Amino acid sequence: MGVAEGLAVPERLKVKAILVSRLFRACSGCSEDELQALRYMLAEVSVGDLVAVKDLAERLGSRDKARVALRSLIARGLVEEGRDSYSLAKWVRELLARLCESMTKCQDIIEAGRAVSKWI
Amino acid sequence: MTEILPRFNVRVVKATSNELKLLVYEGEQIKASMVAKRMRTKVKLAGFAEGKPLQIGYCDARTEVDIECVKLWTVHAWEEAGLPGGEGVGEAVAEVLKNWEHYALIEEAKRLYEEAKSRPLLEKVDEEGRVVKVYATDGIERTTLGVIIVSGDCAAVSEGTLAEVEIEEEGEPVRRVKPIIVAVEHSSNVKTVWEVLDRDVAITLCGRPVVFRAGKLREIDAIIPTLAHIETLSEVLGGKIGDDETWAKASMLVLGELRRRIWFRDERVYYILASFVLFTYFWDLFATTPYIWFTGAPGSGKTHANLTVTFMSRHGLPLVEATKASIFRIADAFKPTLAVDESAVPRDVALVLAAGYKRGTLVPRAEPTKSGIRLSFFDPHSPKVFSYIDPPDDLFVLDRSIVITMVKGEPPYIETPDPSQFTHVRELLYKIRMLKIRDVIEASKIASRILDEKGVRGRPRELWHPLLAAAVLIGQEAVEKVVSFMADYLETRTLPYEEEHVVLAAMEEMFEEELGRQRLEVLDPERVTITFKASDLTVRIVKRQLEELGLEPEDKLYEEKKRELMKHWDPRKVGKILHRLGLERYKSKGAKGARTYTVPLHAFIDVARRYSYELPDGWRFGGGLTPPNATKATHPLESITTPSQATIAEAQEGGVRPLKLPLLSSGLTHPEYAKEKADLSTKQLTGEASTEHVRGVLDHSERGGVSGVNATQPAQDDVVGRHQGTSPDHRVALEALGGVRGVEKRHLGVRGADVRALVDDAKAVILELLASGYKLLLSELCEQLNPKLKGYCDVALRELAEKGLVEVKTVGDETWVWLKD
Repeated sequence: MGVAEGLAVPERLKVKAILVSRLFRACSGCSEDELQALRYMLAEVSVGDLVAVKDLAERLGSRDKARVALRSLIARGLVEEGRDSYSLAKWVRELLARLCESMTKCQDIIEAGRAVSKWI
Repeated sequence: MTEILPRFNVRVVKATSNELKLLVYEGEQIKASMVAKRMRTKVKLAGFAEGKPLQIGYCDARTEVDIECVKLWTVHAWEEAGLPGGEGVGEAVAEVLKNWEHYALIEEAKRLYEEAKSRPLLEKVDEEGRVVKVYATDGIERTTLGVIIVSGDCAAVSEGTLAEVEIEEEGEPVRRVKPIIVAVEHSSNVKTVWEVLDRDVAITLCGRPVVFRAGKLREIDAIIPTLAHIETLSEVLGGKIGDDETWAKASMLVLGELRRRIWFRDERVYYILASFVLFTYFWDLFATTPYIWFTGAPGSGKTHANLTVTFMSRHGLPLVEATKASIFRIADAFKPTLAVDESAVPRDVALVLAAGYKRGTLVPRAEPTKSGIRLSFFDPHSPKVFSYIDPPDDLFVLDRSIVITMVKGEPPYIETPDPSQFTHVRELLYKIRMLKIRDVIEASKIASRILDEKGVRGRPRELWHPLLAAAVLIGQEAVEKVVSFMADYLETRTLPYEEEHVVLAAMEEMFEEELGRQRLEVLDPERVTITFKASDLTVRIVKRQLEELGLEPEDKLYEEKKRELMKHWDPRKVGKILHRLGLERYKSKGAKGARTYTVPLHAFIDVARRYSYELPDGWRFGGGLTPPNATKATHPLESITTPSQATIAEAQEGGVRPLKLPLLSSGLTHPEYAKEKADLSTKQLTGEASTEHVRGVLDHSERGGVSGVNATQPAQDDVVGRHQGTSPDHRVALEALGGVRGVEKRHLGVRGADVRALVDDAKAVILELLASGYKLLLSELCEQLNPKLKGYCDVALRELAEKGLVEVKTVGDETWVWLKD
């Protein structure tokens, strides 16, 4: 294979592509509710369980749907359940941190997470 | 503290600033003792060699010892005594005296260290005025007769027997049979000690307190004929051992007896048994004890072989009419080599005995005493030889035993074995155990290296390490025979994890499918998981086993066998096996109560390794896994053509047209799409038809939305730009593009979820391929997807373009795709 010199893309694009592809793979076949929940979690990174269910219930229509969506994300290894809280899985947080590092204007992983939430 | 010269070996026994005591050895044999005493201006020298005193000598020591004088005196005194090798001894002694001060200082430091070590950790005067001192908690060895302690350079070994002892009781000498122990410490010098165990005795060996417990022996009223003779132990106390008294010599005697009395078809078995007999004399050095299990038809000589081996072994004891409780007590008190024969010991008792394979396993027993119930622990760990018609059918016994199958033969000597017939073998072995224990420590290291080279680990290593160490002591031929036997044995024996391997094979099949579905070359393989229920594995296992049996569904036996296998491998059993494999933690409870396992690949590989399950080539343990279906190329992009510099320049500087995906170029018009959509809304889609329809819908949407725009949009337009337009055509296109989820909900039922998953997977793979950072030709990119995903390449690309993740542009006849900033 020949290599096209000068076309190598910046690191942030690679990290972005890897992160999003892994999210697609982990959320392969996700329902719209699950995707909504994932976008929410990406934007929040870590959030208290009551608040998470309340916020998601507003978006999905019922608290049950919110709980089911969050359970499903936990089963898919995208979200972790802490003590009275939900957080993005460690591997997602690590990739978000890498992405944030590679971005020029990024304060923290929440900012990176919000950007990623728009891509999935 | 020891100077080694070519021939003579001088050991310093005592070194103070005024006095130096030396022993001169030739090899392991003591030749002379010497004492040097420092006076005001000179050193006085005295010696005793070969039963004769040496002439007293004086050397100048006003400033320092006149070494030349010491040398001359030694040579002279040696010659005067008529002994050869005076020069060598002179050199050795002079060298020690030269470093007198060093030895004295080291001795002083050692004394200080030992004093500090023996100081109590806690000390107080209690209410009754007694001084209580606490020395240690752990590190105390408790034993009855025999112990082997290895600590750094120091090795200590003890042996005991029952002997007639005369002890003064109330002023009168009384003769009684009492246990006696003899201990030898091999450190910088050889220290021996003996004690009568009429009470618990504590001796420090190699710096560790050892408690010899008389109580345990007092409970037993028995004489074991295979214990060491007191004559042998007194020889040990004298430190006398002949040049020919070696492990190799003893093993020749053992081999001779075995050959004379037992007939084996396989010559290697003699060496296995000889190694086992030797091993019983130092089994307490190892953490595990392999069992010998003779099996064969009645009359094949099992009992005969068992007794022959046992009577040559250390503390050999055949069991007759034994109960579980009595066996534990005997094993704990005497640590015998037990002969367990079918005729004398019921099989259930034999199985309980097999529990004492590893050091540290204790059997608890609650015993009533006058002051209440007392909980006692018995250590059943000791070598055992079993002789039963059938081989062990319990895995845990089979796993710990070397099974020797006997066939009827004609040994030259057929007299029933008796302990007295093997006294010469045992006594020699007892003596060597006490005085040549260092050889065993070395042999153990060599055996360990051999097993490392052969890659023997886990349980087989526990089983064979002790025997191989014994074989090293016998000699090269024995090592070769034992290694060869071990290799055959490990190859042919029944695998202990047969059921686990069947389940792992079914899981491997699932992973292969998963890996085939995904493209792992650019993925982190550790993230790949499979999700299944125990019943899924049951179905796979049954299917595999039916295939292995060569049964087809049309065969008569097929259904019957299938039912039988389904019953055998019912999900509950599979669940238990998964539990045994440690995969329980990946289990979760599904919505309807079904237990679902989500197992990551790395966990599967780890379990496979631990259960000796061989994975196919290309599956490697640890981080770098190559999927089973990976091509030889190290990276998928290696086979993709990259654009020429001219094309790149064209793409970057202009002449770039909006995307024209191949799929969009068919001639269907928008009304046709509407018709298709109407069809979709009314008919139930199943199987491949659904996929085709979805693709059709998407194609048509794009046709409607894009065909007209392509011709009129400015060059810098891209897919996303078009989709952001307000044209009704765009809306239709967008609905179709992003609407797979909608379609699935409305029309596709279960299959819809599959389609969604395939599109998501295609998106993931496309992003991974593009993560290399190069622009790729659209056709090449889609070609890289596996057959299942290829059909969704265009849909996935459009979704990605819509989200602003990728850029798709056409340059000339070629359409290029790359990551968008």
